[in-house]
Amino acid sequence: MDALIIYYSLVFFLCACMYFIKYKSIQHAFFIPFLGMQVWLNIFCYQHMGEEVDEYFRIDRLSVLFMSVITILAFATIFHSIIFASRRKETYKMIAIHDSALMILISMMSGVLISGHLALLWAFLEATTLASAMLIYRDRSKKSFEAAWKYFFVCSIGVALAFVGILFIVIAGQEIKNPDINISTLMKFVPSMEPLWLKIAFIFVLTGFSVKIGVAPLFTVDIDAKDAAPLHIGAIFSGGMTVVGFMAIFRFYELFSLSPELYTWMNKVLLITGMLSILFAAVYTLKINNFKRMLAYSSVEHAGIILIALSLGHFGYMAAIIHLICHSFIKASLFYQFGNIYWLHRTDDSAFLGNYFRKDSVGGIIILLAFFMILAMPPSGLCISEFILIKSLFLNNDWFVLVPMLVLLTVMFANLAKRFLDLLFMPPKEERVTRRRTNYIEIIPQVILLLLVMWIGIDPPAQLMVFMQDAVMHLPR
Amino acid sequence: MEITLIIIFILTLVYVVTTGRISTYINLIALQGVLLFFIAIVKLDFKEIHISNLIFILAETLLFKGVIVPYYLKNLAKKNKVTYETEPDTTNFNAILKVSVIIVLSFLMANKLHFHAIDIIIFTASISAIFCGALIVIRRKKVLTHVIGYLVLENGIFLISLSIGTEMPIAINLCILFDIITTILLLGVFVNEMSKVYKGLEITKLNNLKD
Repeated sequence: MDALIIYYSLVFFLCACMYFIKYKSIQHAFFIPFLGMQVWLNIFCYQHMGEEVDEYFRIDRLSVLFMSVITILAFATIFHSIIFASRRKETYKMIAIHDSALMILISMMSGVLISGHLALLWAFLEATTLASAMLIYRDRSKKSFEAAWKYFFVCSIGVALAFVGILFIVIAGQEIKNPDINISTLMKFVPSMEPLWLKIAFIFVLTGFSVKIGVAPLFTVDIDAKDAAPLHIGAIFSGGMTVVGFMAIFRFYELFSLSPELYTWMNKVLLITGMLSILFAAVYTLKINNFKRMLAYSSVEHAGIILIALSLGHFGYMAAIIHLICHSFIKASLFYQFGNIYWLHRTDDSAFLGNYFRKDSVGGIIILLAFFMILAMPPSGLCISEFILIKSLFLNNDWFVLVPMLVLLTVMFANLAKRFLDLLFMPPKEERVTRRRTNYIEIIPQVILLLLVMWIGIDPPAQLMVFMQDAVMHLPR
Repeated sequence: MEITLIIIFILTLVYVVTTGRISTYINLIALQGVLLFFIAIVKLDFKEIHISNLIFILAETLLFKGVIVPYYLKNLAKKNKVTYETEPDTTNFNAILKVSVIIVLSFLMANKLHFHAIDIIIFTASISAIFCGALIVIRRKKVLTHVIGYLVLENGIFLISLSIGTEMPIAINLCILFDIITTILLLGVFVNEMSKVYKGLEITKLNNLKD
């Protein structure tokens, strides 16, 4: 507990200090102690894994696993944010706002993963909203303002609805004289609580947090946010926020799964939500030209797949976790690389984008590789998770889920393939003189992330798999 | 006493959904803040609750919801010359119909879920307020009315946490903190910034982001 308080006070101290410094390079240097603290927090969590820290914090295997994902993405995002800042002339004040908001976002996302009290989890999620709104409004343009406003407003409503869900759990707890809502206490009491209250609570929580994980019904503001924000911020939204939103929903899922009646009901709800998300993603991408929105809709689709995998139980849990981690890495690297593409062309208008493979072959190879991986082609880790998912559906004889899902995924893949191959190999509608080739330093994070995903796909380390299995051991089979 | 206050609260909900004048909206929000203050006084047990918690709750309802927010909203409306909500999508009759359906359904729902731990009448009012707030956000076209819809929704959530009572002070306190922080950010940062960028605070002008 003390360690965590020290971590958060140091983060806030760093953020406050940043406003008093007028040299950009020193401002960026603040990231070094921050990243050091983030790594330290990760190691701390690993050492205290499985322990009840106190009534507010709870560290289990899944938190450590997802925390590692966030830490890796933090390194990559901060690396790209420094490149992003070096490409444009900005005042030190804007950099201070951006850098401190990024630090707060990452630390709050870590907080969601380790909180063991429902109210604290909710508060951390709300704090991520505040930091995100600051990051989206980076450009100070009308477009980014609109996205930030919509994101903030809808997130606030979503998070308020989730709070209603938590209040319903409190009410259900009071019926049996349990006034506390930390997870370990609730685990003892959930089987004796009234299921109807918990069902309503789950609906409210799923609706509210759907804005964070990016699934139906509130995914639209997510798309706008990823469109208007700088691309490295889009990467941490697509990669990190999906993980955090999943974890928030998963906390309630693992809690309620202790009651058998709720367990089967929740799986149905998750299945419907997942299918709806895939449907929306496949339909909306038919008419899109903007690559950022394309990637954002692809995230909606993958979040839908993750929820469907979770709803299947048994092998589905593993599939959901592998899919979540691999998707985070691939999508983040795609966002980073698109940042380079837009810089190369000096525009994000897709009319000017094309023939990328000829202009920059190394970047082209990265895009091609990431594109194959996001389609779950074999070297990718997504291949394993989707294989497990489809096999489970096949064995369960869930044809009504399997067939529509495969059709929609095919539509989605066709859409993505057309746009990506156009970008790589077809000449653009209007040619524009490009400035320069990508600097090789700028592709290092993408290459590392993609190699990690390939490693999971080709030769998944046995320890990692055992670790994941143990993480979902306590859930019903 | 408690029932009278709740009935007045529900009537303000009916009025706030049907009205079109910005100053009426703001007055109703102030009235709701004051009503919440009296409901909190009647409802909360002064012996059980800690004095600091009590001051916190009273400051939130009377001072923040009842005075500061409405005053700020009035200034904002004056500065941007917003007086009327234009183009509600349906007539007032439809609005009354909708809000009546919401209240009746909330009442039925609260009765169906009836347990001894919560106060059923407050629960009805709070669920109605949440859905009315959502209705205003969906129906109206000005940024200011969206914020007012959000404030109505917040009042509903505050009422739920009151209906839980004094056993769970963390729920009430957290709710209050959340309320204050988001309202200040919504009004202070975003709406203020928006009034500089877009004139007139029309939500329909926010249409740059398209597929």
